[in-house]
Amino acid sequence: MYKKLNPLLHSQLRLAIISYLVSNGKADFTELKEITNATSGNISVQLKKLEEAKYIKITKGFLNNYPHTSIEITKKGVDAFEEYVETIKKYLK
Amino acid sequence: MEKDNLTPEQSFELITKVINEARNRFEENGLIYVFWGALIALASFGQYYLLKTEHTDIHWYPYLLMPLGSIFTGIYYAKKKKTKRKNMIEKILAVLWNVLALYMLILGFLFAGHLRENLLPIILILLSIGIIVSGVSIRKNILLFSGFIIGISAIYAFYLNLIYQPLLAGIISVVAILIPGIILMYQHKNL
Repeated sequence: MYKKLNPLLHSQLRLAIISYLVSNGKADFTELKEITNATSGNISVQLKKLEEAKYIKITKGFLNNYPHTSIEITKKGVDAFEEYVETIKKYLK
Repeated sequence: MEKDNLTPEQSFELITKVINEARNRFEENGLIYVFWGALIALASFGQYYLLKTEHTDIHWYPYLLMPLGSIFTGIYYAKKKKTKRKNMIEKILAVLWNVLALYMLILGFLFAGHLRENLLPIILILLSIGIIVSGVSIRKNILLFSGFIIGISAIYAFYLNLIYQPLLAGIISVVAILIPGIILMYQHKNL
């Protein structure tokens, strides 16, 4: 019996964000916008969902007098990503 | 540019490697830094007290705590090893710290007489290397900061009188090992 894929990660944009954060640790909003090619509004919505699940931590502050949003992966986020990858592995076997 | 084609197995292997590397950031709970920060502070302030009270023949006794600390650390990591497989970064750090600890113990217990006031600065330099490499490997800037503080103190210690060196070591172990360890513990709890 196949295990259900985590619906929170089984979305192209959220998966791209989490994958990027897993390999880089943290990123800022502009960086995520560049690598995903998505709109600011869409990214904000997906980040909120990931933050609610405690997969990421968002810190808002200022950098050179400009608003700056920093996004960091949490241990729970890495665990969820690993479980997602393990489940896909089983699908492909 | 020609692209290498990965088989699904190779792709998953690569992803697993990235996940394992990401885990390094969450493994450090700060306990070992709190333990060593407190132990070195205790030994250093103890030695300073003994030197100040002119117990020059036994001033190095507090450093007997170091081999005991090494045994505790060995047991702590051996227990940790049982619960999970080590990734490459953890293996490199384990080798680095084992080698550094061995050098520190050899220098401290066998060459103290030869090195005299140069002993502490050399030990601080070794400590600084270990902490900087650990900080870079697990992406903890606070350890990078600690390592540089210890490194700068090591250079300063070359100019210090022998009697004040343990005082400096005690202060450094509180500021650059114990307090960062407490911060790491706090950060780990909030992950």
